Amino acid sequence: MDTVRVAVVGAGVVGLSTAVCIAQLVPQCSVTIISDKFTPDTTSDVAAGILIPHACADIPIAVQKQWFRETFDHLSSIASSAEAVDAGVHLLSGWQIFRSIPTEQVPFWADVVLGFREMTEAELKRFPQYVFGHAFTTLKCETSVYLPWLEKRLKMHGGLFLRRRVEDLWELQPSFDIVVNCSGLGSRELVGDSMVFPVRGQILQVQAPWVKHFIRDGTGLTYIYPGASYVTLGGTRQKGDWNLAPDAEISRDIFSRCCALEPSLRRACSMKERVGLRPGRSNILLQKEALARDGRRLCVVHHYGHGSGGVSVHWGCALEAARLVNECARALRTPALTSKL
Amino acid sequence: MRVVVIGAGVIGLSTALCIYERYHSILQSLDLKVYADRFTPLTNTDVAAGLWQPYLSGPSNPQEMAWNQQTFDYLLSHIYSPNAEKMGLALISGYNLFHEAVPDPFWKNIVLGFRKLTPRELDVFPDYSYGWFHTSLIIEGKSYLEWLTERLTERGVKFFQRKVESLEEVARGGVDVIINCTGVWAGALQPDPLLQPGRGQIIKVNAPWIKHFIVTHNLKSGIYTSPYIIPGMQTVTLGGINQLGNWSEINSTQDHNTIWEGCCRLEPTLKNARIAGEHTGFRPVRPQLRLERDQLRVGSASTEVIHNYGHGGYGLTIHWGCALEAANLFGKILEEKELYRMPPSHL
Repeated sequence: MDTVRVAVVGAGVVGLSTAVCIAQLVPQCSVTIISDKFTPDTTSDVAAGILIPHACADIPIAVQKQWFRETFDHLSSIASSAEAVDAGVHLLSGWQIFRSIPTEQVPFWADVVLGFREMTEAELKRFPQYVFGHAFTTLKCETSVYLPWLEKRLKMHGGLFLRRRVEDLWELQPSFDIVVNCSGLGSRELVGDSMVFPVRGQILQVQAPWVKHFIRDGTGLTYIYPGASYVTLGGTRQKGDWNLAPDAEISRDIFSRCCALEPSLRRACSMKERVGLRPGRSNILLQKEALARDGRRLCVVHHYGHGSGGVSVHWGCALEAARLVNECARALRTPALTSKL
Repeated sequence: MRVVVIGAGVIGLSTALCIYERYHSILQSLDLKVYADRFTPLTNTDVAAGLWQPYLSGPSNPQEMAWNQQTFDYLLSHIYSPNAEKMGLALISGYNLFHEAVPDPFWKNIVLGFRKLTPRELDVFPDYSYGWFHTSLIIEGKSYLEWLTERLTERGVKFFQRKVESLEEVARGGVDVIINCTGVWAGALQPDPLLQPGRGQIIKVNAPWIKHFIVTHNLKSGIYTSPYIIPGMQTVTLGGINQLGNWSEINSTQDHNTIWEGCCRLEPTLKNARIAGEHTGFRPVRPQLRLERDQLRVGSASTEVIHNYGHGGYGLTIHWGCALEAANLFGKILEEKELYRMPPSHL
């Protein structure tokens, strides 16, 4: 059997995890990651990495829940192993609070996280402008540590790395048999998908080691996510904004909103501003496409458009992407079926 | 009114502050001094991990339940102030783990969000089959003592480093009220067969990814003898030693290994943690804490004494309620001396 040559475009959390899944699940394949940016310069590196899913409009809830559950279980077993620190994964408890009672009082992912329950009145007392809340334990996946760890795992599986900006998927033919497009926001240009747009997010990374819980406003606009090396304060959701430079006014606003929820943050020090452009799309695109041009063929698996929810579903999606790659690989290996592509 | 507080751990300093706040403006003069041979960071308070948590079983003195609650409420009210971090105060959630089902603790409604652990949560701790989850507080001894010292200094309270050999010695200096907060060493000032040291040893590590406390229980071997992991403001405290009657102030290698192995088994990620320090302290263990008045006769004169010691491993947990009660007792002394009239509704 010939080795199937797989190229994964994009080295964020989606690209790396997809590459690792492919290396583990697809028999007789070689995996090469090709990207112009690697950690710590990817969009994923800016994300706080908290596991709280964002509902996608057009994907069945059962599928979203499965992706989240698979990601949660996968990271959960890492968190209780000795690898946890190297992978940057740890348990985190906290509260999601609402200024008015939400229509959906129990979200679809409530039984995936740990110990989910409504907040008590005594717990809500410290948030005087909020009337309802959830308390639960979830996982935090510190991307700046997780991504290098994924890279190491990929190397262990014989994965190769290429730093290069891909302008057109056809550049990768005939060197590769299957291309997995995990280029996130880059898909707008790479495959001409105008449904992809940036959702600009600005955050602050501060030193406040006494903060042990996450606090998230139900709208998702204001949040406090403590990690192993800093606390992430956020944020913004600016659709269509491509500006990667931090805005000082926005930083002040974020800090002020977060201090309103957690006054002790006023003593936080060492503030770093960061900006990331989320790969916005009405839904995640996770599907095969058989490209043909001038008698050449290229199997593509698209895997992008995760918006704000990439980390929360990355592993479940990566498993699905690997299954699709496997289907492509089997089709390539069956000569009778090649003409069907 | 000349008052001397003996002892500069959490009990001594909080009692001093409470008495000052309540009475300094109504007394013509209040001369308040603190005598101690050890100050922060050398007190037993400094060694404590600082997790607010009373013992599991109800206290033999029902008043202690109220004092625990008063302390939690008082600390919680400060959590939401910008001072919290300076006081060494933070909210913290976590796990209490058991090998068998146990009744809920008497303090379950004092802490926040108390509930039993779900089966999936117990999967995280394979050695244990039952447990609780709740949100409590950390009150880090060293920061809190520094904060109390600052507040007292601002109010003109003076500190003296001296080893008091007897209550008489202090009384002879012309003191109206002595407040005895000498903790585990109270027996040296007045024999107390009920008081004994509960030696504890702890290891402090750098493990900032640990955000929950994990306290395990071995009901047969007794409190604090089973591994516990308690994150603080900057470091994580590992412990699980409680040796009654042991006065050795030296860190023991055997205890180090017991703590390290027990905690790593509980939380495998600790193998990545760097050790930042190791300390020994003595819990002032007593069947119930001693908080009562006493009179000391020196010649023809009599000096008032308020004893406030014997808080075992729950000193930080109960300190403010005890300070309030000590202030009540002080008020009674003032009433008797006709320096003050207690308001009709008891504070």
